[in-house]
Amino acid sequence: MTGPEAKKILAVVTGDMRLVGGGAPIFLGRDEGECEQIAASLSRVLDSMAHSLENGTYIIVSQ
Amino acid sequence: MDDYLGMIIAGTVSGILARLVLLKVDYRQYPGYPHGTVAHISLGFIASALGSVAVPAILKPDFTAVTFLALAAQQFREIRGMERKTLENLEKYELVKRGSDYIEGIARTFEARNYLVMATSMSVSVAYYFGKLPAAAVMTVLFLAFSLTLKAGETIGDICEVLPAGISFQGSQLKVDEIVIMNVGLREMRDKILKEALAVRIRPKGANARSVINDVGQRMAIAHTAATILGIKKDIDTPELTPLLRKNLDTGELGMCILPVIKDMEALMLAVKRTPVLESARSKPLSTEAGRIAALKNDRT
Repeated sequence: MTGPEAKKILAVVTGDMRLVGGGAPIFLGRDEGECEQIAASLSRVLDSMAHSLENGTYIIVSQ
Repeated sequence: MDDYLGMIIAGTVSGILARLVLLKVDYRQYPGYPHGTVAHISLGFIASALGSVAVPAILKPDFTAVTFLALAAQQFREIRGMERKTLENLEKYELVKRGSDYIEGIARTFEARNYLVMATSMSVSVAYYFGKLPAAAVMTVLFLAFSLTLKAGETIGDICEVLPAGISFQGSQLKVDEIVIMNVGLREMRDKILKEALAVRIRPKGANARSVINDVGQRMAIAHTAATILGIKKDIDTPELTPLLRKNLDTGELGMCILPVIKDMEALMLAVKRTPVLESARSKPLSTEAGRIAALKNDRT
């Protein structure tokens, strides 16, 4: 959306627990492929968007 | 008495004609539905009847009767509220949102059109009083022409150049030429966008145009128009495929990326060009001295 609506991180998907922390649910993938697959499933289920932080971590952000 | 009747009939008929001329039902103009059309023609009838009755009321003379025009104005403001509310309710389920600027623009247009109808019928009934039917006919034609010029309005194509642009990814950043649009995390979606998306670049012709397309509401209106005309490959669970417009921070040019059902660059460019310039987005920095100086110094008029 183009509007300035407040966005929220709904979930975090990572392959390395040392990179992440905080309030949102964290999903751990065994490898890059699994992380991407989890991110894709979550984004479908939550009708939201998967963004890559380009260090193997994905965040699912509400629209 | 016959005179009054003639005035009222002439005024009402011309008012309804004006409403019909203004009631352009097309892809973007709500209402696009038979019932909406009926509602608006009926309101136009009421507006024109009120307008044409005002003059006989003054002639009679019954000056206080004119105060009902104020009542009518109140009524039409309510129509604007109603129109806005309906569109806002529908907005929740739009895949590509109109944006509140567009909604406000449509609502305001409907209110204003009723005033225009009232003005038409009032003037025509005055004309009938002085010159009978010929004068009324001339006045009707004049007002219809005036309404048509008001309806035309400016479009994006008038104030901007629309050019084809390239799509690329830098890591997961989607870019249209050099303009970063958004971060697309999933490879599958990146491939889909690379394969199926179209991109355009909107280059403003001057500082006034730049300030128009700077407006976020205006950008949403462009995306909505393009998506409505070409169709859109997006569903509720794929927000990645929402058409987005982002600007080049330095030049004020816009980049837009969209996944249309019909992949046709020419059609997309036409769709973008025919998006109306919203009243709320319109601003004219060049008509102030400060704006002109800034534009001249930066060589961007």
